[in-house]
Amino acid sequence: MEKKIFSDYGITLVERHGKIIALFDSGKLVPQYLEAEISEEEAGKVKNSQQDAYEVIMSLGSRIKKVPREK
Amino acid sequence: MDPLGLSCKNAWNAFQKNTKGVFTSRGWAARAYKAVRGRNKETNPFPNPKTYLEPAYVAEHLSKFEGGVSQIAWGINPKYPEIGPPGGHFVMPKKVADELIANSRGSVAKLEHSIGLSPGDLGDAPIRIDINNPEGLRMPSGNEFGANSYWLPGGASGGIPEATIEPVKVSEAIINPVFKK
Repeated sequence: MEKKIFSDYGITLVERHGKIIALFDSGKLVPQYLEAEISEEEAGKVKNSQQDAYEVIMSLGSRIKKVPREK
Repeated sequence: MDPLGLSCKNAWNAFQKNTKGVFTSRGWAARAYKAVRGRNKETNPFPNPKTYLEPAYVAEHLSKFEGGVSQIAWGINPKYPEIGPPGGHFVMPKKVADELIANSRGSVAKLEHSIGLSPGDLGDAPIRIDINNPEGLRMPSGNEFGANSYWLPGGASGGIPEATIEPVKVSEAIINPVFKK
């Protein structure tokens, strides 16, 4: 089960099995769906502004996973 | 002598080749080259493109997006209520999407090839995402999350004109199959 806890600035935060997961797309001309586990501190920053949300996703590095297509 | 500060000839030559048509003079190209050389979005962000692109070029380029912007994708994931990450995302002119789709004549493989994708990237039933009134239409800066390490100034990727816009709610976009059955 997932519970949506925030959605704005191009990013959605959900709680999944007690973890905070950030959902966003790649932003490319042909986008891919991505997700990454983030900390509570990062989640707090995401909620502040689009610039803060941008800084968080830019810092995620290898935590970013491609989300498989849903059939 | 190196009056333009173009110390690495190979990189400068590659820059000129890969930005052909963007600049009206060598001086403008050199200005842009020096502005972006050695930059990367992670640690040394690119400057605002307005500081190194000719205003007339920017105006002409962005005029291509009048009439709306588009993206092409394999589908929509309902868990994602917005299109585009924080910081802006890349779009093509709606007219260009129309042409790419028309020229692919119903073939997903041809469409993938024309956009520079790998076979299978668009699945078997791709969609088009049209945004008629995008917010924040602007020249890409190279700092976008979706910009890759080969990004160059001028607003084109593989010959496809591109601009950057603000994230859009899925509910505000027009989403249709690329190929109507």
